[in-house]
Amino acid sequence: MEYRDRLVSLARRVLRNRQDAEETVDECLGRLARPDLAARIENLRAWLHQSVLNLAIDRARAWTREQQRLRHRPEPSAHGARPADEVVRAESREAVWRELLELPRRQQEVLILHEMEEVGYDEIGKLLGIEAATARVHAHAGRLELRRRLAAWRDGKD
Amino acid sequence: MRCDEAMTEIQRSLDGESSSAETRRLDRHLSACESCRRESTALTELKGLLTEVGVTDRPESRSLAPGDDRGRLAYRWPWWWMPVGAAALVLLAFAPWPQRSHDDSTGDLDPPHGVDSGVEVSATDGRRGPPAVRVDAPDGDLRDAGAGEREAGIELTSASENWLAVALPSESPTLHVFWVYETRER
Repeated sequence: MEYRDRLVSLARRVLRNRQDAEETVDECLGRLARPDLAARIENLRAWLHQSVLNLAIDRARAWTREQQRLRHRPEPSAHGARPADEVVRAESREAVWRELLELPRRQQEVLILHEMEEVGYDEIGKLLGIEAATARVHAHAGRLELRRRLAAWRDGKD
Repeated sequence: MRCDEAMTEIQRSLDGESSSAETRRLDRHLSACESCRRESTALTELKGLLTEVGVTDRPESRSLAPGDDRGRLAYRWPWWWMPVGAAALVLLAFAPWPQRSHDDSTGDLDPPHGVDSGVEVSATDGRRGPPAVRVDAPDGDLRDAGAGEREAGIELTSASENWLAVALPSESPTLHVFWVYETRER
């Protein structure tokens, strides 16, 4: 797998759209061509992952906020043929995505890498320049916060 | 086991870091504690939802046709994708780099050619090429990429598992300048 593909895969987890993911990755890679920036990068791998994650999260959040501003909820219930539990599941999934994008940045980064990309805490620590134990703490706190937000969303929906 | 210990253990279990003895202790606690059981169920569901989010494309703003099971279709590729994709990769591997268009018609430049072996890395720190990346010109000459070329802009090109090549635009159709970054961890 080309390294770019790996980054696109990461961005796609966040943005959930291939074209957006590719554009995001290419924008980050493009920054490498600036000599002043390139000279300051200490750890290229970490820089790439963090840049891609940050830009992807920003763009995904802008997208979800815009959808909410337009009061447009991509309602799975539009699918008349879908069983009710699948509709509920899809709604929950979209809610988890929206709420994930509102968590503190470190919690987002760790949860995306750990839960979606299945990266271990040791590796996450290296990618984010933090201790593995700290990554674990962020993941655990992020799960609890996300669980709280999901519950609040469900309460508000009923 | 206390409830706060159980909460930690639930998280460790979600991380796949629980030993079988710890799992048995947690199970005993959960069978007796409804509140922790609820937390465990909710966190397990959340983990599943997070995984799903990562493998489903987002719903587009347009309304979907009835019965369009888009969320689940995100990674369902047609059956011919694998053989055709593999063939395309093989073709790409042997294809020359794309040549940039140029207006020069004086004829004194070499004809366009592939430069797939045209990069030599001589990074001083063993990690990143520029500015020490050297350019393999078609006549075999090696030279450092000039500052002007670096600032002029770039074109992204291919990369291997461990190397990422960023091509700089070049007026010459025969000279391709790359910055090569090593992406492998050291």
